[in-house]
Amino acid sequence: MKRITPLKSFLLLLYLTTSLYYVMRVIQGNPLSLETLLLSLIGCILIGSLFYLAYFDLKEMSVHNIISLILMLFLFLLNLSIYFTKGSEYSILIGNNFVFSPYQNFLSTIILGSISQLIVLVTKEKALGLGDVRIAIICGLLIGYQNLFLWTNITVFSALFYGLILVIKKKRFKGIKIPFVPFMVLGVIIILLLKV
Amino acid sequence: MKLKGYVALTAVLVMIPLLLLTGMELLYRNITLLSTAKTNYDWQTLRTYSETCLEESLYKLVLDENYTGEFNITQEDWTCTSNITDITGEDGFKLIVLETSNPEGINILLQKKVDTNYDPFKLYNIE
Repeated sequence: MKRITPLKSFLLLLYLTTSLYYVMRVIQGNPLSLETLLLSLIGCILIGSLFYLAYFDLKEMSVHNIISLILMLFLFLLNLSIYFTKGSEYSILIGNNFVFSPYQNFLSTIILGSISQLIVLVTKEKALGLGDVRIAIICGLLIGYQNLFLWTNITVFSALFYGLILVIKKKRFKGIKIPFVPFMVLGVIIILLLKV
Repeated sequence: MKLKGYVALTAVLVMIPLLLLTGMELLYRNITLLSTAKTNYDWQTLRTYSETCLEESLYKLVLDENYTGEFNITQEDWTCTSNITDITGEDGFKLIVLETSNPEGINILLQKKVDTNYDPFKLYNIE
């Protein structure tokens, strides 16, 4: 298997997503203020990291430990700081109807994290990898409780579709393993595109 | 340290029925909620129409204090029947019975007691 260079791929993806985001902002006619610049940068780092994690999983069938840990801690601290400074009822409306609410995000994280961790423990990592639990937590911290059902559907059904393609390709059903992170990231991206 | 990042196809297949069941449950719950909300909205609207009918009945009594009888108000999406009768033994008191309905089958029965001895009239609710 060809080794990928994590830093190069990550920087390339970051550059691509940042450029794409800026082009979109300019097309929409938004002035590029310092606030917009900061928000864009945070958004791009998040999306870029998620893309990289998806790419890494697709190639290596594993989750990048450092990036996923940094991303999880960053989102956790971001949600926690908003929760404690602004209160549990506080939420930020991003775009048309994407609501970033720390309370809802923590709720979805608890649900996703506990269910996926339970699957990992019960099946001893045969059904789901431990890295996916971390990505599920990241997704939970991003999407919130209100988008949880839609996200799960997008993720599971797209993974099933890919899995069926693999079954047809390999002509066997037993032992088929699907890289789950790309589909979890796909779910987040679709929700962001639909709501923002 | 590497963390495993895969899901077994069998695990995905197990998740599908659970998701479908949850989805169906959510769908039914939302349909029920929507139906309840619509019924409530219709009822509130009809209640307002019923008040309109009551105003019309009172207007008839303002024009003629001795008025008794039945009249109908028919509109595109609601109908109302108002029945004004004297209350025996209570001079100057009238009983107004209003029946308002809409094509969805919602009916509201409203009963009011009017004392025409006062100006303006006194209006009482009847349980």
